[in-house]
Amino acid sequence: MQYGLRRIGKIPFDINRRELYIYSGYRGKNVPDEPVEKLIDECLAELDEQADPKAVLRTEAIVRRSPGDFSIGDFAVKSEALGKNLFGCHAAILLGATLSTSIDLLLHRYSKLAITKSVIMQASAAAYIEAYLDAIMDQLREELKPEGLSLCPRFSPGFGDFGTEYQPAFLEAVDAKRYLGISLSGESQMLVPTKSVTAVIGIKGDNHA
Amino acid sequence: MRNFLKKIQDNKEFIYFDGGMGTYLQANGLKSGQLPETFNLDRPEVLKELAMAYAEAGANVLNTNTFGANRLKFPMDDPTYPLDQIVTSAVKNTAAVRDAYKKANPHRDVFVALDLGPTGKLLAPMGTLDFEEAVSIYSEVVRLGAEAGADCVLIETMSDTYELKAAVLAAKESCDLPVFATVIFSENGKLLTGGEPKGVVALLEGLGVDGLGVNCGLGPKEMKPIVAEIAKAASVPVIVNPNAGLPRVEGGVTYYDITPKDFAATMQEIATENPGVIGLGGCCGTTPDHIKALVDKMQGIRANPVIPCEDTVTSSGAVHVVLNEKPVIIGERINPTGKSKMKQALREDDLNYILNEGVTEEENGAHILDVNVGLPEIDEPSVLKRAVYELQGISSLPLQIDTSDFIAMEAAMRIYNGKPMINSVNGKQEVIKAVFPLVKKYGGVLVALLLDEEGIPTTVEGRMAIAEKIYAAADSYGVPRKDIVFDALVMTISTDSAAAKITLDTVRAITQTYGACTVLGVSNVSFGLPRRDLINTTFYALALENGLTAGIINPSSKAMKSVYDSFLAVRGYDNNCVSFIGGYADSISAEAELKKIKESGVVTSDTSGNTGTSPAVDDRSDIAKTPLGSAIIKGLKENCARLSKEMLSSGTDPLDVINSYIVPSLDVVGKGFEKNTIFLPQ
Repeated sequence: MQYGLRRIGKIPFDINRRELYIYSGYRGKNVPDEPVEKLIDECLAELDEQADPKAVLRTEAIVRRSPGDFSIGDFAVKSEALGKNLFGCHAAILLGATLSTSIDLLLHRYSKLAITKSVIMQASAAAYIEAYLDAIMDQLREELKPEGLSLCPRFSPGFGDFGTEYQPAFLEAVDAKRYLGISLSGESQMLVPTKSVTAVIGIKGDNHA
Repeated sequence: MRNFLKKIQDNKEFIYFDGGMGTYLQANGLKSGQLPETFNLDRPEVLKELAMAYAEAGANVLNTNTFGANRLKFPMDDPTYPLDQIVTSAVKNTAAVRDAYKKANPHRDVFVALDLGPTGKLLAPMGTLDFEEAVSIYSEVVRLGAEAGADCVLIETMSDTYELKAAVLAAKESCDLPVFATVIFSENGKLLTGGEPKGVVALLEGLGVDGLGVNCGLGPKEMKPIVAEIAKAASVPVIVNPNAGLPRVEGGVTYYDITPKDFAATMQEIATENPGVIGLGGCCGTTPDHIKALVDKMQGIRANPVIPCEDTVTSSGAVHVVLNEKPVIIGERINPTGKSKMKQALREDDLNYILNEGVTEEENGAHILDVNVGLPEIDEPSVLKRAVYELQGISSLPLQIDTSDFIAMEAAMRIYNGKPMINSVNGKQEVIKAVFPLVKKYGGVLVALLLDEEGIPTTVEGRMAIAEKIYAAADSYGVPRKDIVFDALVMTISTDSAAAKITLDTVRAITQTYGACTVLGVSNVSFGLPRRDLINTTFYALALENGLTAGIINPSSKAMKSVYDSFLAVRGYDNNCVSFIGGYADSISAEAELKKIKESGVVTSDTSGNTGTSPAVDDRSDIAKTPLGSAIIKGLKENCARLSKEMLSSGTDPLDVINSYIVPSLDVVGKGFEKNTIFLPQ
């Protein structure tokens, strides 16, 4: 594995439609009818055309002071939950990704003019960025496999005691404003563009585990 | 700072900008998370050393350490790092180096650039920062920097055109110094907010920057194709400040791998292969060694002069339209004239109605949206501004701001994200005086109506004379001629059979004489006639063939859209007819459609609201049987006058002539006109 910063642009991926149904509020036997399926297709086609998915990955060694107090490179964290997630990991990836502002324009458009479509677009865009991140992780897994390394699940600021107050430092660490155009909106510390993700991914040596 | 401006405008000598700062500050104790601008007060010696190293390396422009200096990060009332002290000390530190260096090297030009970076916040509606708040944030820094002695303003690393506009506007409004702006592109050649080089150049030149270009994000090699696009699109000097390659972070430290020698070699290629690349420097990871290698490498090479680009470009934040490349469609639907639903929506402040129209036009193939909200009973400046703001939140198309209210025009131009089209100016002195200063300040592609105080000339020569007058006005206000597009004025042929011919001939004359772009409100030609679609489509096709650039039409009208698409295919604008085939392979001909309609027994309306079959002329009542009534209803002017005089001389009471004959006859005409049974020539 290589430490340091890398950027990834558009790569091929498949959307998990079941996940998209769940994001749209369909659960169990409750499945979308034909008009909704058509809307989903429309939304995914628009996303394909408009989205400009981008990610920055920064791989750094983990330096632990205690299980819940550690640094990933110079990104210092105090979080039991993230510490637990990174148990057994010697390194971690700080990942920032976005679908870009063009998707916010679509979301804004439909929230004003077509409320049903806006719900489906929200769900589709969420499934879209998740699928993009899954594809990035698949690619990383392939790269790490020969070295006997594997990845932990993504862990984002806002999970457990890994609070959103870490967002500013996280964005700084991956130079998110410059390379992804991600910033924080006002007081709420929400990421803008809204379809953006920050996450920590632990790297584990199978032989160390 | 006339010297500097003259130097860069001469575009003979290269101007060297300095390079990176972050790595140097980190090496000198800047900690992770610490704001670099705090060094202005805490460690000025570090900054002065670096600036002096750049001056000695040959840099002509030394940037102040103010990239992130704004009141969001350094409030004025901050006890330790108040904004005024941060900015003032930054400029004074750098100016001290300039003065010291110049004292020892009086022949060398060294200037202090007040450096402005992004605020770190995304502007509304996508983010939360209000546009005017952004302008105010930048204005504050510019005023402080200019007072402290900066020689120019360098706005850099901007990735959002809206924030870029706020910064440039602030700089232009708050000081008289030269203003330069460079933006950061991704490897795909776009801004993070979607804008492309040509659109960014249009925006920046519209706002009147003295130089523009690209910095950060990429190394010189990756920047090459982007610089080529910028240099081709620009009419002002171009600045290129790349990183020393792509960053690599190890153990919390960022490395850039391109050596000074390789950096200088690629920069030399960039400077010699493109026109107008005058400003050369570096960004992240570049050091005084990189700048020295660059300056040495360029010894004895003269700068290529700027080759002004003559394209007529309008832009939004993400999209730009080159008007002179191929004909385009301006959507006409956002306009209350003759649309009772839109009037009602405007009166009820229902902007969603407008937004819906805009999205429909975009989906149906418009390239630019005309936005006209003019109704006497509304507050037009406020409504137009909000309409433009809301439209640019839901559509990525450039907008044409269409108003005769100059306050509304400025309000909308100011908050517009891009270089808008402006509809309109004309040959009247009063209008010229009101509109040109706005275009000079905010930038825009200006629609010029060929009429003046004397009215609308009835000859091609008359209209061309007004075009000359408008060009002269543009020259005197410093608005480039390429930003003027002429509206040759469409009058209905129902009142003047020669009207369309004059318009078409004027379009051709404008195209041939000036090579300028033209605009027409196409559907005016058929006002007062039945089956307006037939006249509109024919006129539109002829106008396109005579050189029309931008028809203001209803893109949802299949008939009009089919003329446009067919014209592009016939005239070779649609390579291999790909778009035409894509759009029409599955469609059926008009005859087949008619057959289907007949079979289903439904008579449809076309989109211009005219029914497909003309109803029989109605019973024109008893009045039509009287000689005067008949003359009025048939529109026989001379007969009306003669018959009225005869009645008066035969002793009929004049009031009786009016009340019993003229008024009832006009009433019949009015009703017939409403029902589309009587038409204007009648």
